[in-house]
Amino acid sequence: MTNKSTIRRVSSAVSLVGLLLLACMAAGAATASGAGSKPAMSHEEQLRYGERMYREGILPNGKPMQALVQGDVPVSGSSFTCVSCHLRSGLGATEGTVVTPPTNGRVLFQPRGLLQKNFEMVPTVRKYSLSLPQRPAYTDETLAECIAGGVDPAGRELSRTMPRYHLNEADMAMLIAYLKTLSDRLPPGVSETEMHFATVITDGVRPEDVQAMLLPIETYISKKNGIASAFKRRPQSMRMAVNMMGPDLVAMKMSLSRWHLKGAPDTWRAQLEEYYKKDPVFALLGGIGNGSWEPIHRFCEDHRLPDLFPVTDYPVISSKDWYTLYISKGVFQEGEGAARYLNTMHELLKGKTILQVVRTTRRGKALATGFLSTWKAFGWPAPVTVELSADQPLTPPLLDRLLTKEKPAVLLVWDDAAALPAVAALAHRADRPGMVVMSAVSLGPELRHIPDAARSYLYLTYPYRLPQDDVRYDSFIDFLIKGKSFDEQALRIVKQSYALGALQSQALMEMRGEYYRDFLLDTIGMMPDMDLPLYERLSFGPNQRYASKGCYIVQLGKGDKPELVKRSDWAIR
Amino acid sequence: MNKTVLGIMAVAAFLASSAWADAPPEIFVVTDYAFDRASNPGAPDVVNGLCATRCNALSADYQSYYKPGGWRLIKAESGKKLVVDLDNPFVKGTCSCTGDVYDVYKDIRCPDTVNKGAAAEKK
Ligand code: HEC
Repeated sequence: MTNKSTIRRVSSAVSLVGLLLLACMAAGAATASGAGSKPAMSHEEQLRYGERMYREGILPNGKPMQALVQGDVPVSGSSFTCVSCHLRSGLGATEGTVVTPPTNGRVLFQPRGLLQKNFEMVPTVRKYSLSLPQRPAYTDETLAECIAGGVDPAGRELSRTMPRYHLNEADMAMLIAYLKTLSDRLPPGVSETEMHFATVITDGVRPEDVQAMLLPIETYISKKNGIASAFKRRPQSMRMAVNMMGPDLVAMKMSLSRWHLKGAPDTWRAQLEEYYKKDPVFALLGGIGNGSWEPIHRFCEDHRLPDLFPVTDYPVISSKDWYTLYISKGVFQEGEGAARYLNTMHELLKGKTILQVVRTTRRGKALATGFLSTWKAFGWPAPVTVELSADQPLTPPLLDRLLTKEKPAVLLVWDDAAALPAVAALAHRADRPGMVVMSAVSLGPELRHIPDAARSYLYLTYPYRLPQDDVRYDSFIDFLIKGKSFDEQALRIVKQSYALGALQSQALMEMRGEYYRDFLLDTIGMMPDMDLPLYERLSFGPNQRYASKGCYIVQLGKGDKPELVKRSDWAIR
Repeated sequence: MNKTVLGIMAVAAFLASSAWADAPPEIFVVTDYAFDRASNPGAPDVVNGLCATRCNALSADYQSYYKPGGWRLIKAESGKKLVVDLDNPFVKGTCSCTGDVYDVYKDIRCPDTVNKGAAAEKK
C-alpha cells in the first residue's frame, strides 16, 4: 500500500462533519487553554497534566478531551481514556483475541518487527506479536499524527477502535512526554537475572500462622529457583519450561525477604521505609497481620509498590487505590453478605425493625460497617444499632430487654461465640425475631457447637467454600501440607497463600518479559477467574482489588457432626 | 420452623457427598425454579426471587467438581422436581426446584494427570 492511497483513505474516513467538528474544537481549545501565553511549566507539572489526560481524559485546562470514535462520533475523552484500553502501565492489553498495543515511549520509539526478540518460540508471546502489524519507530511528530489522525509511521490507518484525539500542540507535547515515562526503566527489585520480593510480618501473629503464610510462597520460590538452576546446567533439557515462561523468566532467580514490623502500628511506616531503603523489592508477597493493613497499604500506594494477597481480616476498603490486591474484603465482606441476603427480601422487611448489636471491637465494627454501607447503598434506612463495649457481655437478660424494646424482625449480632448462650435462649421466646444473623468466622471452633435449639433461626455469614465441598480441592495443597499439622485457621492461611502462588506464577508468565509494577497489576486485571481451594471463585478486573466477591449465608444442620447448609448463592444479588 | 430445618436436612442428606458408601453420592444441579402459587396465593412477587435463591442454594456447583479434577459426574436423572418449603420466616409457601441428578464418581483412571493443581505443582 502506498502512502498516497492511505492518505486518501484517511480523509474519506474522517467525514466532513468530523472535519468541521475538529476545526471548531481546535478554535475553542486554543482560546480556552491559552497554553501559549502561560509561563513555562516545570517538567513535573507537565507530566502530571500528561498523566491526567492519559488516565482521566481531562485537559490541562480542566475540560474533557475531545475524541472521534467509530463512525466519526465525537465523544469526550473522559469516557474514552487512554488508560481504559492501553492500561495503566501503557503496555497494552489482550482480551480474548483483541490485542491493544503498548503505548509507552520505550516501545513506540522502537521499530516493531514480526516477532518479539528472544520470545520467538514462546507460544503466548508469539501469538501476541503476530496479531500486531510491523511498523517503523515513531518520532514525536509521527506519534502526534497517530494520536490525532490515526495513522502509524508505516502510513497504515489504525482501526477505528482507537479514537482520534484533538489536542493542541502544547497538550499533545505533555501527553507524549508522559507516554515516555510509562514503563520506562525497570523498577527497583528487578534485574535481568533476579527478582526480589519481601513479605511483611507484623508483631503478635501466631507463629504457626506465619509459617502457614510463608510455606506456599517459599515453596513456590524455591521451585522456581530449582528450575533456574536446572536451566543453567542443561538449557537444552528445559525446552518446555522455556516455552511456558520465556527465556528470561526461566533463568531468573527469585528471593524473598521477611520484613518484621514491631511495636505500635504508627511506628510501622518508619520501619517500612527503612527496610525498603536497604532492601528494595519489586513487590510485597503475602504478609500477615492481626490488625488493620492500612499502614502497609498506604506505604505501598505511596511507593507504587504492588502488595499481593496479604493475609488480613482488615483490608482497606477503597475503590480508588491501586497497589494492594486483597484476596477478599475480609471481615467487612461478611457484613456485606448479610446485607445482600436481606436485600433479597427487603420487600418483606419494609416497616419492620432491624436491630444490630455490635461489639465495639475491630471485628464487630468491621462487620457492622460492611453491613451498613451495603445496606445504605441499596437505599434502605439504617438499622437500629446498639453498641456493646469490648468488656460488656451480651447476656440473656440484656438481649431480652433489647428485644422487648425494639421488637425487631431481624437481629444482627456482630459478636463472637460469647453471645451464643443469649442467642440460644431466644428459642423460648415466642416473639423472637424471624432471623438472627451472626458471622460464622467470628464464632471460631464454637461454630460446630451452636445449641440445637438455635439452629433453626440462626443464619450465618460464611465467606468461604463450604468445607464439605472444599475437600475436593485438597489435592491442590497436599504436596504442601503432607506430614505437617495445621489447625483450621492455619490451614485457611495455607490456602490463601497458595492462591497467591498460583496468581503470581500465572501473572509473571503472561508479562512477556515486561517486569514493570503497574503491568503486574494490569496483567492480573486481565486474568480469567481462578478456581482454587477455599473460595468458590477468584475473579479479577482492571480496577478490582478484592478477588473473592462472594459470601454464603448458611445454617448449621442438626446433630453432633453437623454440616453447614447453604441458604444462599455465593454471589448474592 | 423446626420442621423446615428438618426439610433442609432431608434434602441435604439426599445430596450428601461426604459419605462414600456403596452407592455413589448424588448431586442435584438446578436448572429451573418456581414459586408454587397455590401454596400461598397472596404472597408478594418477591417470592419468585426467594425461590431462585432457595433452589440455587440446593444446587451443587457443577464447576466445583470438574474444576479441581478427579471427579466424574454421570447424569442419573433429568428434570427431577424437588418441592421444598420456601423456609422464610416472613412469608409462607413452597418452591419447585427442577434440576438434574448426577452420580459422582471419583475418577481413578489417572488421578495425577486429571488433577491439574497437583500436576502443575509437581513439575
Ligand atoms: C477504545 C480503546 C482505545 C482508547 C480509548 C485509546 N486507544 Fe490507542 N489504540 C487502541 C487500539 C485498538 C489500537 C490499535 C489500532 C491498530 O493498530 O489498528 C491503538 C493504537 C494506538 C497507538 C499506536 C500504537 C502502535 O504501535 O502503532 C497509539 C500511539 C495509541 N493508541 C495511543 C493512545 C492514546 C495516547 C490514547 C489516549 C489519548 C489512546 N490511544 C486511547 C485502542 C484505544
